[in-house]
Amino acid sequence: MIFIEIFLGVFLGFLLGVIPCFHLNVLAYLLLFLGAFSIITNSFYFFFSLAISMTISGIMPLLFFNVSTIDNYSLNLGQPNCQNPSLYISGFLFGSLFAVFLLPLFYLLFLFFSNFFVFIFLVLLFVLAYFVLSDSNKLLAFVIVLFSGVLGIITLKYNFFFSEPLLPCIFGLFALPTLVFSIFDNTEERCDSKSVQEIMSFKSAIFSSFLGSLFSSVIAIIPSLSPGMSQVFPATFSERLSKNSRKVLLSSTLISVILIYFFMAAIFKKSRLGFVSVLLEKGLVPSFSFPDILLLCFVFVFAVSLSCILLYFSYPLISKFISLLPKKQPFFV
Amino acid sequence: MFEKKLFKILIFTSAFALLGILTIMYFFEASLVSISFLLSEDAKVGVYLVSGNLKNIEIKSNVLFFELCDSYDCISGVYFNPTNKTAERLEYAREANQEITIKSRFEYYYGSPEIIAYKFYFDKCGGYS
Repeated sequence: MIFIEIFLGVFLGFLLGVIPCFHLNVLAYLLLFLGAFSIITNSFYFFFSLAISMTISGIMPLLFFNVSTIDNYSLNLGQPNCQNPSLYISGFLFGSLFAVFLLPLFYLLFLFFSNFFVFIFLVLLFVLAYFVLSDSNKLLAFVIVLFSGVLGIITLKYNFFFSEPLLPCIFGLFALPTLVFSIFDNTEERCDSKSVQEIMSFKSAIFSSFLGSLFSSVIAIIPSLSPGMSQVFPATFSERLSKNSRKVLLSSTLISVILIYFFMAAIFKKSRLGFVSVLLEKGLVPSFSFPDILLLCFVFVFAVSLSCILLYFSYPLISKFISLLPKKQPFFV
Repeated sequence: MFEKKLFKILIFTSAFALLGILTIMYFFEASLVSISFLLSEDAKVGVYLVSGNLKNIEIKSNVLFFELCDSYDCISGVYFNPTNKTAERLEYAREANQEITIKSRFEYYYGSPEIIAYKFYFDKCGGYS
């Protein structure tokens, strides 16, 4: 039964993840709307595998169309034709292994630091200041922070725009600032033509994956911090990270936080993600004994490797298909 | 070179994880026991599946206390951080006198036997909370 859940979750998640900007939270709210949770009552590992697979295949829109999300827009990962899935796959794979080994650390961090609200506030302030100061257009960045902050307060605190708090969650308070950002952003990158082996060694891929897994633990302590924002910390401590290392770091962080989200939900009944909140509310996350935690770790690694294998084989096929599509012609010659 | 190595590692990792899942499913499967067995002197601390009817449900400080009874005996149990949905389903099961199965850890709390519930199975189709 558990294998059926894993395989179904991985395949469905892989298909859904390919849809650009289709976030796990949106899927959770859609399933909630359709009443799917009253039909699917005993499927924790299905949803767990689905979340893993969707996260991994969610890298596809970035690879092909450079579709930016809240998790990767700040990383400047390069143009679509410069992308190589191997770097992301190595990040996902090694990141998942490191996340499993660092699970006791995540547990201790959450146990001791989750109630230090002043500490949480300072970290959020630091991340915000880093984003503003590291931007080339500091004034614009500051205006966007100010604008989204005001928008957030009047929407979520005073419920000014919507009567239902679900709506801002679906449409995203950050959509408008991101749009403004994309209007002014016209960076052009030179594509690297070297092979992966020349650009990045095996050792540095392992190191970046470890950094990604380690610093994703910040999410365990601080609510409302996205995986993209958590990468500020390794980027600050290790300024010499190359673009490829940042790709590995991104994928490693993205996959590590999935394990943290579900682990915290099972052990502490706490969630940092809308998708997990819905599962918790619907009673789909059982409490875990020690063997259950071991099983969770093995299922996590298994689902990650399965999804990576799918990504490894489907990338050339989709790439070939996209190359056959008619190219967009420029307006001027 | 890197890509070839990566694919080999991928295959090896998935095989290793698969082996891990199978091992845990084989060695750590909780056995189904009766409440009388848990109350006997032969019972050892561990994870068991136990069936019965719920009695005396109470929530204090985010901990759900309950009693699980069969025809002969009752054992007290706790469930940490219950969600509203789980509490509702347990209350409904108590009112309907429905037999449920609990995956729980059996241990002695200040000398008295107790179960710490992990998972509640409400029906034979496997619906749990």
